[in-house]
Amino acid sequence: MQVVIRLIVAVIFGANFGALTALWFGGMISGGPSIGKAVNIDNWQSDWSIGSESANPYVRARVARNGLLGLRKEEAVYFLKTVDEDGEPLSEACTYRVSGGALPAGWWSITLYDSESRLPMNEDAHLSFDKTKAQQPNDGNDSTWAFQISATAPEDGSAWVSSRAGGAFDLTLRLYQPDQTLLDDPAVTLTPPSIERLSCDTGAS
Amino acid sequence: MRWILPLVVFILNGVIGHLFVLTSLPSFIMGKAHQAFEAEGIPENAFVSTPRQTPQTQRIVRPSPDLAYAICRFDTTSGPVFINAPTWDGYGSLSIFNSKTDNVFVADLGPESDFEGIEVRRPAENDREGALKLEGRGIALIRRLAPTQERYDVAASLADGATCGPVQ
Repeated sequence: MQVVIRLIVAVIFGANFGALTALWFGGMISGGPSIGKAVNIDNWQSDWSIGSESANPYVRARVARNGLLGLRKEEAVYFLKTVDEDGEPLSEACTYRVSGGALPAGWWSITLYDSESRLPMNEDAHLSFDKTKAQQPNDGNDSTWAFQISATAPEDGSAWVSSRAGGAFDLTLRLYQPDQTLLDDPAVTLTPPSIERLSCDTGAS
Repeated sequence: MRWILPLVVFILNGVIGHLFVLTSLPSFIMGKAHQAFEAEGIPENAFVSTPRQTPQTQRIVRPSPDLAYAICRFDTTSGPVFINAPTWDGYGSLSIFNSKTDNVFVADLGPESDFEGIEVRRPAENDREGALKLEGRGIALIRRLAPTQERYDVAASLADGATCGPVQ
């Protein structure tokens, strides 16, 4: 009888343990791994198998949870960054300057999401910065650009993405119709945007 | 010795449970997405423009607020489906996803695109040149670069010119 009970307990606990680890590795449980990290350039992380039939089950599950309806790499690549240039987690309590240059894609955007992969619940209407905002009005040049991330609008009226209600947020860099050279050799081709922490409401800046 | 068999059973069931849940997640989430779209009044076999993506209107994770989206739910079970969409004077694409969330097709809808539509068929049906094979339910998604309300309104109006339904 004891043997049977042990086996029943083993079946129940084994199946539940397996299911829970799958949910964690699949990104379903808070704190689990994010979308793939196969490509990592200055902590901007991506995985070229997103959207592809060749994606492994873990990447596939994380994409379903955190990036449903993501495009395959020939059409778009997605980079995620959760820390600033000093390696500190991005936080609504801090102000950042994000800057960069021309990016190897037909169109690109940088969007701020909260820890639930949602646009932060504010009504500031400043949710992202994209190539059309980076381009100079006179010649369309986007070789140098910058914007501020903060919970309140900058007083000087400069380009702004609101982190209000973003909590511990992350940034997603989308590169649509990426250059083939980027897909072939991302580390050499991509100079990613930098995220400089300017100040924080609490603690050291 | 008396714990060896339960340990083996624990590990075996753990592996089976892990793989079952892991491989079921994408189809489960895609099924939920279909249900959510249906609940929001997005019918099968028609493109519907979604509201401009804001914190208050977002329904899927990580929407891009710079894009205008139009969605069509379709099902190849009862026959082939034809999908097409007008081009756009900025970035635009038409993508198709199967029930496992794979992006199985993308067409450029930009100003230089010569896309004339795609027929989607069940794999079991007779081959037809250029047709995309997809079993059961799928989602077609149009993305158009529309970072302003004015551009969004123009993009949204193009959903009426898109096609997504049974092959006539």
